[in-house]
Amino acid sequence: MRSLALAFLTGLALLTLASVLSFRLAEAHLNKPYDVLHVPSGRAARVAALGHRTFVSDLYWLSAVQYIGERRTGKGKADQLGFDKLLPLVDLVTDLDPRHGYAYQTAGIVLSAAGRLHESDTILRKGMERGPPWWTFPYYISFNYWFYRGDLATAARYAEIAARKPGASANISHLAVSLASKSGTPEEAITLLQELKATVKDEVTAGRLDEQLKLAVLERDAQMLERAVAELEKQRGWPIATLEELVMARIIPAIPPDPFGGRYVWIGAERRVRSSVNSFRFELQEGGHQPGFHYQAPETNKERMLR
Amino acid sequence: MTKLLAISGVTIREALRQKLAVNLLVFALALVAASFMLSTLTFGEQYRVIVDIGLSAMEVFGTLIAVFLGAGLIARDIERRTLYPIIAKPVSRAEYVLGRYLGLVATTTLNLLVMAVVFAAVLAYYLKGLAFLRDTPFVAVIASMIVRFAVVGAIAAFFSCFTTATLSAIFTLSMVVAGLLSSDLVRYWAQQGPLARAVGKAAFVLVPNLEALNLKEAMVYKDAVPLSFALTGLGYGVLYAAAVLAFAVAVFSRRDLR
Repeated sequence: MRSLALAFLTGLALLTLASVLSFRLAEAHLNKPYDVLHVPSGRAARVAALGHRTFVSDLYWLSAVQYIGERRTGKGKADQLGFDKLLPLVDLVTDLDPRHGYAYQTAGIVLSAAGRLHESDTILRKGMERGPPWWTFPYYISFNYWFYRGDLATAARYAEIAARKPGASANISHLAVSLASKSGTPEEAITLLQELKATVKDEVTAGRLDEQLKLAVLERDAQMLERAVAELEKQRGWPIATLEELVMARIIPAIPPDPFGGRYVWIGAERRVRSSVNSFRFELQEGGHQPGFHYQAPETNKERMLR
Repeated sequence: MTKLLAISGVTIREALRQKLAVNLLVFALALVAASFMLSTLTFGEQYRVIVDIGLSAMEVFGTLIAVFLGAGLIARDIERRTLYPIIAKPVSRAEYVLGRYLGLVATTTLNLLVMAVVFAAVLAYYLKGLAFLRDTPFVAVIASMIVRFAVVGAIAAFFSCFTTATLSAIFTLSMVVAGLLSSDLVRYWAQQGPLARAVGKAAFVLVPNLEALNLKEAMVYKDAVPLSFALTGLGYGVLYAAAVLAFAVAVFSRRDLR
């Protein structure tokens, strides 16, 4: 009986020591940002999945979700690492399961919000070519061209494609006409983003769309304030120094709040209104190019295997 | 018929006593139940994660159960010499192999049904009802798995007729992997020369086309499975298993047991 108790206590003591080491290792692991070390080629993964492609696709999708989620919350240094692995990861997920529509959509939105427009377009175009016939893919490419590149002609073409997809609302064809006539307004961008937001099922993607909604609100307010400045200057005959003059002259009742938490300021040299904390403004580009429908993987399988 | 039922009854009782099979079943049940918790890690597509993890767990563990039970089906009887009192009775070798195989299929089917009930309970909890039984090809997926395990069991029984349980398990697992890759390999060979194409076709006939019994994606995307498609797959599986079993009977009938 005594030897049994001794063995039990020895076991307990050893387990306690092992747990201390284990917790120390776990803590070190938690302090490191979540990263994906290697993304295998889609072709190799399809064969290696041995009939469980959607299952393996889901495992990599869960990895992509963690990758996105940690960068969004800015946990540790993850937010500084950027989204370098997101496109290869979602490319792999959709190679394994080309019908994973939500993966194309989420990656497209997150990459666009991170300023990686080419990558966003690439994965959304892949979705248009190989994925389910969702209207959100061309719709969001249209948004990228319109809002971030100021290329209304290309944006209009993608909006037209979106309007012809099943489930697309009438607002999309109105937007296509508006963009084609080069009069796309921030109000339409807000409507577009709200329609997109209604299709997402998670907080992370909705959060990304909210950030873009703020940009659209900023652009709407700035354009309104610039019109008011022009009106006041026309009345007075001399330039204004600050936006507060608009309120004092009763051109507008109040300066709207900056959606990014700063305040709107008038930059006389540029003759533009900007947010004090976010320098974004919509820049219109002349011309445009035809949408290309040939999906090109960001790198060859061989290149990815060697990485 | 009575002899077949008696032998299969003994096989079921034996199988239920095997710790390995029971452990695999417990692991599968735990994974199916855990699929709900794992699905909370994702955003958006929770249903597909539950279905993917649940069905893959059922398929992997069900296949392993069929392999390990099937591999020892006859080989272990020979190694332990428990076969001799049976064949000394008025039981033909064909009846013995068929009876053992029927018992194996009954066991794998029973295991699968237990896993399917847990999986259905998880889905019913997540989807708040049993409408998925009507809206998804749940029944067709389970039926295809029953036949898939029957095919794997037949291959294991075949190898078990002329080699040891360990080698039989290794050979069967190799055949399962080849069966899962067969459609890819044929596609690869089709791009090569005529000789490679002929070899590819021959291999495609010999190894089981397990992709024909894979309806998991239809369950994930709630696709309707046409009856003709399901019946073709199930028919292929039943015929392949029957053919392998016939070979097993032929090999075992000629085997010198001295």
